[in-house]
Amino acid sequence: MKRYILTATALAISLLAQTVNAVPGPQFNLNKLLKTATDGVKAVKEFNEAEEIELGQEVAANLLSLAPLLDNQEVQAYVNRVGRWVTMHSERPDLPWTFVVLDIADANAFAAPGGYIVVTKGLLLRLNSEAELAGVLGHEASHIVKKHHLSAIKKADTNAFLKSLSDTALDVSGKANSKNKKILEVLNLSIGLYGVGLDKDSEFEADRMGVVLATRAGYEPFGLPAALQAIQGRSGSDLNLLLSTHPPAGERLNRLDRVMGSKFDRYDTLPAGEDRYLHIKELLTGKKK
Amino acid sequence: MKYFITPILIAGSLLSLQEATAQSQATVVRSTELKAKPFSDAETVKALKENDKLNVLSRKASWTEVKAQDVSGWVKMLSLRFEGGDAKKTDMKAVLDSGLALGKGSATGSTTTTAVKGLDKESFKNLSPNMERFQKMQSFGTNKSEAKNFADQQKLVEQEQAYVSAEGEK
Repeated sequence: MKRYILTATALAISLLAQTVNAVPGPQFNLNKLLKTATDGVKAVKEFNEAEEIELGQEVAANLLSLAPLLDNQEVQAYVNRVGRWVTMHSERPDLPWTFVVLDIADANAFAAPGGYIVVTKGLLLRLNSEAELAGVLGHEASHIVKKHHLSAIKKADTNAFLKSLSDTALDVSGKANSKNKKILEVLNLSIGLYGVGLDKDSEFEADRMGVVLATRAGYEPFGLPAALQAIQGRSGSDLNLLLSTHPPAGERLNRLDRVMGSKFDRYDTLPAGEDRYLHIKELLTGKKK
Repeated sequence: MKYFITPILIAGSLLSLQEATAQSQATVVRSTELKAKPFSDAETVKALKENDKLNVLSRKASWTEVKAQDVSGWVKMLSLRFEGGDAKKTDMKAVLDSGLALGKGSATGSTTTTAVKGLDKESFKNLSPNMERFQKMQSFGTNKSEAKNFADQQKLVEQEQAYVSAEGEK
């Protein structure tokens, strides 16, 4: 796998890797980066945190066009508090970690480089405790901590990857807030990843790390496996994308089963935050205002 | 689009039955013990064998409360797998939804039914940045001290736990 990718995608992404204004914000500067880019592979190695954040902001802004934001300040604030607390226990506690809930029935979560995490209302409705949410957010945060999306762009197999994205990459004219075609190509490659998924090992790694991050944050550790069981145990078109972009939930559970063993049983008395989460679900279903 | 209605109703009712059973039934993946309480030193109520089917009642950390025939008790949650999702059972609902989406599209003369249709690979092909939403998202952000306050209020106690490695996996 993944040998001859480097040409197109690595070149494209490497174009980003030049100096950038260090102030994260909505005024994206990828335009400038691309104009001054030179050597591909070299530039990828020099991809710094500010540039990663910059790309993540662009990606997040695009992902947000999938659906409206959930119009409930309490839920948005809640997810941010849980998520921020969990990510404080990662190796990158000072990224601009930001979370948002999209108002869509589809159950999914997306991590964008630099600390931006999007979860759907449909996913929140399938969970049953704050510990489960912490596990899921820990999984997403781990993709960012380990820079899985950047690695995927650098390493993905040309055939499978580019083939699936080629339509996207070609259709780049006049749809974003920038006129630079190269920027759009890079962004389209990055964003296209969310339709095809990361490699299995990245998902398994994020599962292992997600469990640990939730545990470090003080939650009972079995939230993520429970969320996987909820996915495994149910069907519905709202899970189609999630299931098609991840290894089967049963396989993910088998892996967690093996690595967790009884190591985490000593945390059985840690809280799950079920009551708080029930309240949030009531807000989501309109049973409470 | 009229002829969609009957198959949709049938598919819909089949699906809800399927979901109702799928979410509560679990399979045991290895021999294990059904305990009277969610503790490993609790009394063993029953020996469970691989592939035994159980009805799930609730979960408490590493333990899931189940009913095995007439006996209730607790079993380690990691020894359970659930049937239903993952597989092709989702297809029926996908067909159903695409039918609905088509219906909506033709009624309005538009095919922009993204929110109705749900997400798929195609959803990511024609995105454009939504700066207004992105700025709103940023406004939801919480800083570390606010997060710490939240954790203190919720009595979340930090733990020291190293990452677990995948080494030794086959």
